[in-house]
Amino acid sequence: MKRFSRWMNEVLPPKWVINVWVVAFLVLWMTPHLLAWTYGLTALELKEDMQFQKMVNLCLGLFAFTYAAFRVFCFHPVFNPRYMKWLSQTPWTYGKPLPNGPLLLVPQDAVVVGIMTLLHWLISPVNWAMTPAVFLTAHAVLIGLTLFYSRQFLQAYLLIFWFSGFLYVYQSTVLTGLLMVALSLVALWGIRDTLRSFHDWSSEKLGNNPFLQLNSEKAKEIQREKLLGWPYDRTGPIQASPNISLRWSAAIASLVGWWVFSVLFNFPIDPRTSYGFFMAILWCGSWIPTIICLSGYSSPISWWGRVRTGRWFIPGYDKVFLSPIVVTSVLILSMIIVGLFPEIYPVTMGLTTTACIFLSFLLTPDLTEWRLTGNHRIVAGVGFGQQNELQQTQ
Amino acid sequence: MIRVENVTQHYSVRPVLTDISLTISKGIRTAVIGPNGMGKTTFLSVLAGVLSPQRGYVEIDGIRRRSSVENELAIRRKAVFLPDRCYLPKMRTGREFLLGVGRLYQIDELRLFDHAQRLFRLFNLTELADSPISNYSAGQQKKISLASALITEAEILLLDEPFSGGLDPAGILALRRVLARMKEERDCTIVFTAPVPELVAENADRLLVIRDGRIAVDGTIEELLAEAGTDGSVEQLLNERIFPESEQNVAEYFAGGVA
Repeated sequence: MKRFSRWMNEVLPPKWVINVWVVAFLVLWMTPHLLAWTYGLTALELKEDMQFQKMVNLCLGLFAFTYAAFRVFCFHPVFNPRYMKWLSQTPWTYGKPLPNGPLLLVPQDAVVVGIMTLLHWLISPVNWAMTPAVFLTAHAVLIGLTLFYSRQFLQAYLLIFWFSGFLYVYQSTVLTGLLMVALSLVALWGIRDTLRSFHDWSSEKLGNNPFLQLNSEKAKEIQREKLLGWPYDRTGPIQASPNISLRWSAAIASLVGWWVFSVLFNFPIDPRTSYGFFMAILWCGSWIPTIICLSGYSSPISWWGRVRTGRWFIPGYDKVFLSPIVVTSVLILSMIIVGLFPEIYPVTMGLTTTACIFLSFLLTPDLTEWRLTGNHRIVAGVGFGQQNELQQTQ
Repeated sequence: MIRVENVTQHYSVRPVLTDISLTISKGIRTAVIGPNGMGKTTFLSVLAGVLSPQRGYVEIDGIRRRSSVENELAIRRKAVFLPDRCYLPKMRTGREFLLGVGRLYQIDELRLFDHAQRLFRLFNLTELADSPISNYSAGQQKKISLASALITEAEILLLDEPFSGGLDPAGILALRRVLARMKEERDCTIVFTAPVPELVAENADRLLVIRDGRIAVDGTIEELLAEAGTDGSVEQLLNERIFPESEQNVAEYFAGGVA
């Protein structure tokens, strides 16, 4: 028994969490019997009551989700900077057991989820499969989030892409189960690669990300350097700006377009009620990269000056407006297509979304290049969110 | 060396700079003076790469500003621009601010700590070094912003109105001497603006007067002294060139019967 207990302790949450689970299970198990005794019904009648089943599903689903979250947040070094820092300084390599406990799913998880499922079946035998389903889905999704940190973009992308599959197969228990298993396999593939390349990405993250710094002073230093005020924030010799490659622009645009198509295909909406909403979101979204470029970098001459001097067009500056202009054209074209062929609304909207996002990435100038070589006027002042921190001299 | 070629700039309709071309050699202190609103700050902004002119271009040590990311970063490493008005991080201490700027310019850490301490002594800020900048007076804030430009160890200093902003006499004296020794000992190129000629006569090797967007006067102190002759001074000559109507305005004001 002691050996079993020690074996299980590798993955079990703290005792107080288990106690809460036990009490909640007992309450849920006793409720139908108490209600039956009070109102003179049979326990079976109550167990088949829809409202009762919903409550049981919600509670037990929450427990399964809590366990999945615990397994990811407490065992993954990404969420524990001290653990990550310490681990990066040890000779630990992939294949050896992780000191804080296993990150990959292990037989103990099957025991815990199996017990939860059994209890679910005892309380409400109708939806007992929901417990393992919630656990596996939550685990895959949470792992998917960590894959962005550890640079396993392919697996993260696949997880988000295949997650849309639920929209197509949610009515079939077998297909939903198969999809869940597929998602879990992708998540496990991602964790394996994450652990294999741990020393590569962890050193980079620890070096660059102030939130992952064990040494708080170092983190503060990094923050300080980012907030030096005018003119150093905009005229200093370091201008590292985020940049998204063409390949990833296409991949992200396709993914969002696919999701839009999937939602509209599986839950048809009248184009007349939803089209304006989609258009507004896409049009406003196309301005985001432009606004980022324009923030702190204004036109070299005023708009009135352009009118008066006849210099309507300044190529080195006006190139930032190319993306919203082209996106607007795409939206007008899409509006015509939706008007002519409302039956292919999901396809039109999916393609429109993909085109708009891709064109926004493609046509907006590279931020570093724009800031350093654009034909603009760098505006003195403070950026968003810095007003409280900076003060003007004189 | 700084080369300005056919620079023209207008924000709206009125040209602020018109077809300005000149070359500033290495190790020369150049003062840009002129009346308010006549283009001094715009000229310095063009040199600093803050402003992309409508026509013309600026080259620093043979590299054209804003021609490519690599070129612009190379220029930024060797030239620092200090505007008339800075935004300082008020919650940070003066020392934190200086160290942050030094690190931005990738100065060696040990040298940086030592340099920051010497700058605090230079500007009489030692006691305030570890106080938040919000506790500094206007003059002390001007001093810390000047110190931030010096801590970059840049070869080219582009300073907009460095003598204004509430500097006390000790601060003005310190800055004058620092600019002189930066030139003598480090061969730094310094371009600074000033509203009045009195401040610059002793601090500049070359004077530029910008008036109505054009260079009205361009010469070394010696050349201007020669032009002024034995009867006048450089200050008097510059006042006549920069503010030719001042005397007449004053005379007209009192002729109007002002008590």
